[in-house]
Amino acid sequence: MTDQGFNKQHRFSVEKTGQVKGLGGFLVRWEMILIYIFLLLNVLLLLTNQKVYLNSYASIIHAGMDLSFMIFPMIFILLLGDIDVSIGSILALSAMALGLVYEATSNTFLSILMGLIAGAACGMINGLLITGFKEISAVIVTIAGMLFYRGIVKIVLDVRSLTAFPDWFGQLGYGNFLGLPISLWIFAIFAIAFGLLLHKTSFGRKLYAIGNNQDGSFFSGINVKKTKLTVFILMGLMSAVSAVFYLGRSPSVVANIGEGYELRVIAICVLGGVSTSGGKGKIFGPIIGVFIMSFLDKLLGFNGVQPAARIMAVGILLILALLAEKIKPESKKVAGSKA
Amino acid sequence: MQDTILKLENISKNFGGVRALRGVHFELKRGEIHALMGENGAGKSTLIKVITGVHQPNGGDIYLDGEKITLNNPKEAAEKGIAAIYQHVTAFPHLSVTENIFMGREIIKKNRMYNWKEMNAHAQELLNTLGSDIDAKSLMGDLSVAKQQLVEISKALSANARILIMDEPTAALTKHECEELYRIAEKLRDDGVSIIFISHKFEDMYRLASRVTVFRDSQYVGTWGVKDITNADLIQAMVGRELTQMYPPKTAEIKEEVFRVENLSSTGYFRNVSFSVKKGEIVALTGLVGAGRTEICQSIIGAMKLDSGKIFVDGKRVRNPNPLAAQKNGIGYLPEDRQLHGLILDMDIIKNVTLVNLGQFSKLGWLNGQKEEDAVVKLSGMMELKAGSLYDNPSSLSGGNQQKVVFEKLLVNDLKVMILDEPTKGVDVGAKYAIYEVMNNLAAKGYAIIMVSSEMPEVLGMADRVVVLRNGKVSAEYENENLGQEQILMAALPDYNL
Amino acid sequence: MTNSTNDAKTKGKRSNVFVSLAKNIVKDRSFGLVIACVILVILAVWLTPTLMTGSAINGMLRNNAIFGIMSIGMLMVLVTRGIDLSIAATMVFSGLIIAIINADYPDVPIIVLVLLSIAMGTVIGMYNGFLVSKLKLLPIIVTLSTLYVVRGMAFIFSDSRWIVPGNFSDSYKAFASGNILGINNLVVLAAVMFIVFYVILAHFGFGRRVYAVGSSPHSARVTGINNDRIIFAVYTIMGAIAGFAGFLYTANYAIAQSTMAMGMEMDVIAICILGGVSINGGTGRISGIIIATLLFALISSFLSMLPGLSIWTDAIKGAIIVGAVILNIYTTRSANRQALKQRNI
Repeated sequence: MTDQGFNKQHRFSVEKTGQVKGLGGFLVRWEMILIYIFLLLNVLLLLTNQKVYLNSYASIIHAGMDLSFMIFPMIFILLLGDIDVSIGSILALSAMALGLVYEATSNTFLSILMGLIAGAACGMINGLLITGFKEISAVIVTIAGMLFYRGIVKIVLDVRSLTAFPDWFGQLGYGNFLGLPISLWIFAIFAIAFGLLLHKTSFGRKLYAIGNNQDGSFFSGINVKKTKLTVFILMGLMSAVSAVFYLGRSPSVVANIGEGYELRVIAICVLGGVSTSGGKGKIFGPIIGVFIMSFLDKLLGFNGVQPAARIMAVGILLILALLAEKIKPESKKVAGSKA
Repeated sequence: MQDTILKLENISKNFGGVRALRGVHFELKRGEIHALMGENGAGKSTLIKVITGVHQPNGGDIYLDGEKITLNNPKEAAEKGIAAIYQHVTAFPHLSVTENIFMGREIIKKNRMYNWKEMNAHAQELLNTLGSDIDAKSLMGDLSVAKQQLVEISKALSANARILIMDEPTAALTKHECEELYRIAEKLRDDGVSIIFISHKFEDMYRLASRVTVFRDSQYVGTWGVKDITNADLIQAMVGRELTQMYPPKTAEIKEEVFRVENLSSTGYFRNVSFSVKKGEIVALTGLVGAGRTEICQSIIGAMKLDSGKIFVDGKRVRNPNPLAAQKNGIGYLPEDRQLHGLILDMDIIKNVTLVNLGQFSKLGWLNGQKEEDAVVKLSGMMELKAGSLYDNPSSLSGGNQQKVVFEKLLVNDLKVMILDEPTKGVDVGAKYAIYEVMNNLAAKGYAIIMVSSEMPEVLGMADRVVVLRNGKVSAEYENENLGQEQILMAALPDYNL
Repeated sequence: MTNSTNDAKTKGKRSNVFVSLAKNIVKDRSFGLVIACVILVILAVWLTPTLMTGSAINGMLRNNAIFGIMSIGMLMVLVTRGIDLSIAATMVFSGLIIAIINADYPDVPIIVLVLLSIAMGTVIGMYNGFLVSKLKLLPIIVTLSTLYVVRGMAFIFSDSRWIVPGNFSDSYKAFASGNILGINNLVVLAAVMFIVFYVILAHFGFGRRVYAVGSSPHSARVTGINNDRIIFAVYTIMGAIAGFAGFLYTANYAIAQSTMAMGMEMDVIAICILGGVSINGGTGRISGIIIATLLFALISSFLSMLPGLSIWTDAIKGAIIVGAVILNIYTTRSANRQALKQRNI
């Protein structure tokens, strides 16, 4: 071991050995393939329903925006190697909290705040249970949560519905700003924020580390529990944000709102290239996935496929995405280490 | 004149570009206990996997009872009477001992139902014959490692194994349990079983084996009668060079005490462990495997629960609820399992190193990639790391260089104490010297170093003081002056009276 | 429940099975479940005496027999470290198809319909099994997807049709309302299936291999067990059982429509976890499932009989799942701590 800086003989290159370089490499990256799929969907829509497609382009985007906010923390959760299937129920619970407070106080700010707190609280319960016991898995906790949170909605609401909401919520669901949906603008802001968080901050680095090797990260001084807890709280929080936008589209809360959203969000993330075993995935893929999902939905809707059957397509899409992940060539790993 | 029961001739095995076995020979005589020795990576485990049918050789022949055979899978090997017992027991913890013994060869009644009565009786009989008090109906997962190994032996016997391979069976056993194992091995030999015994311990070899074969660097070196070869010659055969000049000279100045533990205890692992380390000092924590050394280290840094005891850094009491706190208190840890705990194999080298203190390379959370790169380039230069690019993953590095990366992690934070758990495990003999140099340099810089090691020569070559653990308790502490292996060994044995 | 026979050998075999069954019940914390059952029964008799009549109990057992039968399949899936969220969808889909056939073509023999229902469930089970075992996809995601796909198929095939009691032929409904020795057919069926699968899981190679694969997949492979085939079989059997349950459910309630039995998969999972099955695999007893089914039946009846309590069911089920998992954890931990204390250090 020498003390005088580094030995010139051991100068290190800054390039990763074995990367596929050049324009060709860029064009076949998974994110580009997703863009091709998205363009294909647009072409199909154009061919099948030209007039309606051109006139209602913005509304297609509008329709798919409400759950889009949940994909960001779901990416984080999948990166960690966990999962959360309770998000649809958390959405319902937050929407209910929001609606009840608004019904009682007519105070917009307070109701939204309570909705967000309700969502974050659910996320915190998930996180505390998952991190509190090392033997417990996110699978069973969030399955139980899926049941429990919606169960609370059923207890409180029983058969009635909440319908009183601020008028301007409609703007979130249908309004435009400079020609583009308001929800899209807000989505873009979140996308930038979460994207930077994931790819440029130490928090994001921790996610990749934990997802690739939880024990190794623990020994390296990473507070695994705190990171996981934070992610699950974020998930609950963003589910509440999605609830607000859901109400923007459909200002009514009944016990079964948001059902099936967990499947859609997971499908979008997996389609976007996030691995379900943890440690792999970027922000860009799922963002494109959001639009693929809403355009696919519209394509099916235009061709007379009912909503109950459209979720079927999501299920099929998820399986196809998982299969594609299996076929994708792995990132190149140089031949095994010598003992 | 014993005849040969098993002969392997000119066996080669490749994994991708790695040659794990290069034209090796091995001959096992009927009814003998034959020791197989060599360093890590010498090819012993691969040979065993070839004999047990797990791997098929790329070249060479296998002869059983004089007849040429092929072993395409473990089942075929088992049918031919070849059984193996590994250090890491492959068993079913939720199933009973009986079921583990009979797995794959269950006794089935005419109506295709399992004959539990007969299997339980048979299993219990086997266990009793081996002199054990294990209840055949108990769950495998409730047994200690030593008892599980006994079950494995019973399993081999029940399968009428004629050739039994024991891969480092004594590594996790207490001295008493070792004696039990020796007794059983001798009994098996007397009953006509031929045994291949892999161990790093010369004692195992002297106690049991009549002949010893040495592998080195995937090649066959030679076979000798145990009585016909000296320790020094054996080591020479294993290592290819003489014992001297293996350890770099020490230049560190030993100063005041900087680290102390008092009465550390953790139920079932260790009790009332106390020792201290001074600045610039290297203290070796040694003892037989299972003595609790790694558990003590992991409890100190907070990766494992500590039931009671006190830790002092620079005279001040500190508490380490987790490794992060330990780091902040100036204590760093080099994990025993490098690939599992020390490195994140799917992240590049730079990211691995900076992980231990991301705050240092970020402002308000925003990472500075250039700062990371600069720091790691500097550290890697200091370590004389041999890597293609720092943006490669550590999986592409050799064992010695991987270990250097883990050392770099320790240098990122401001530490006072470094706990190194088996720092040269899985590292080539040539690369070991480089690690020793690193350790001496760190000591010279004023770090207090605790080195957990199972290798006596290493302990004697590197340590200023030696703390010997026996069954979870400190049994002796020595200054490393005129200290001999025998003294350390005696302190590690359960029968020794101070 | 034992029928006395003249063949001493079979009698001996059956009593051995019962002896070991009884031993199992006493050994682990299933005992605690039995206590819970007793408490609930006492509460039920005290609070709702009019509803604790023979016919009410028979009705409760009859409706929950299907849960018990489904739990048998889920037990095996959980033991292999998997999970199956699609079982209710499979049940509904199969049941709906044969109910429609029965409504439109009442002359089709019931046995044909039953076999058809089982066959459809088996195909769906094979699909799940293939994706999990051969393609190594995560069970939760695969079966979550299957859930929606199959529900969607049920919706499409039924075209939102509701099959009501009047549409069913009498022979269809006959099985569910019939009795053997005063006990409802479904209950007897459940009992028989419990016994059959208990024997298979405890005394036959296939059953033992299921536990082996769940306990240590690596060791199982080394031993020569074909993990993939076992896992494939387990999901296939689950599907077959779900398909069979499709007939039983529709016959019992004489209703069939694509949105029925929503969330039933959760109930079955709750029963299994309550019965001591570990979500991490390797353990789980039929005896525990039996008691858990009973306990679950009592809880459900309780909640539906007491006024205003039925809306609490989902929240309570969710809490039960979490509570049972935590209880399992503490049980295992104290056992481990005992083992450590024995090390004499």
